[in-house]
Amino acid sequence: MVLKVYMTSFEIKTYGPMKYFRLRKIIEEELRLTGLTKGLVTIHVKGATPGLLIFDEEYVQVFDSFLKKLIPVIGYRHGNAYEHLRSSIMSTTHTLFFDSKGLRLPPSYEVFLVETRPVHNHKRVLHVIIRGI
Amino acid sequence: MIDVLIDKLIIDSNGYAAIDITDTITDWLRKNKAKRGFVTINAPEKGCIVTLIEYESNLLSDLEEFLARHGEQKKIVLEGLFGKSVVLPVIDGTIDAGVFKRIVFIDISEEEGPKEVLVGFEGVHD
Repeated sequence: MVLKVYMTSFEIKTYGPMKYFRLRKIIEEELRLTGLTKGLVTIHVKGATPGLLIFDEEYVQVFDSFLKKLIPVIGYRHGNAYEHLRSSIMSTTHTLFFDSKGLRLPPSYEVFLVETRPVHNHKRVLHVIIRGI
Repeated sequence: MIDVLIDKLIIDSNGYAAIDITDTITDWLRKNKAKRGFVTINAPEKGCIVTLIEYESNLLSDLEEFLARHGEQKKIVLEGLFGKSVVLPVIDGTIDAGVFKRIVFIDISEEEGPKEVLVGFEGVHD
């Protein structure tokens, strides 16, 4: 068996603050196009303020409330520090396993791009690196 | 041909520091002629974190206050919050992470001395 590696990039238009954009279907379509049946996929979003969150869709608002409480909007020296801190904690990169059915996640789980900034029609670039057999 | 390169870098730390290691990693990629793939950076030692954040003095002060506020009882919690590894894409020999995002090594161990940072590149190189 030969290991194959694919890298692809795409854009998502976002608005915010603290809005959650679903990526799972997009990533699983990229996986399907490769024809690979098992492996690893690394997802990365460019920039110092967005977040990537792998979480049960049912409880996203619970996470959202927790994060806002942990890192409030005000009280910093750097104007938008809350965006950076939320981004660093969620991380801008995650690696997941996949098989022929898609991502190895429970059905109710999503891969969210989190727009932390109060923006409108903002362009976010994502990289997806897929390797497997 | 896909290859894997793994190396150990040493960071001098006073035991309480936030150090921008982006250029160190970029130089390492250049030295190894990495072209396309991804690089993983890991801080294996206790009390050390690798995270992605803008490296700006006011923001670092905010980060320091955040770490102090939430780590006052159990510092180990901070390693769980921020993580010990990051993975970044390498395209045409450079890290494609955006303008402001930097790779920052954070040491909250309060133990002065050299600290290990592990670097792994998976991909294509010259």
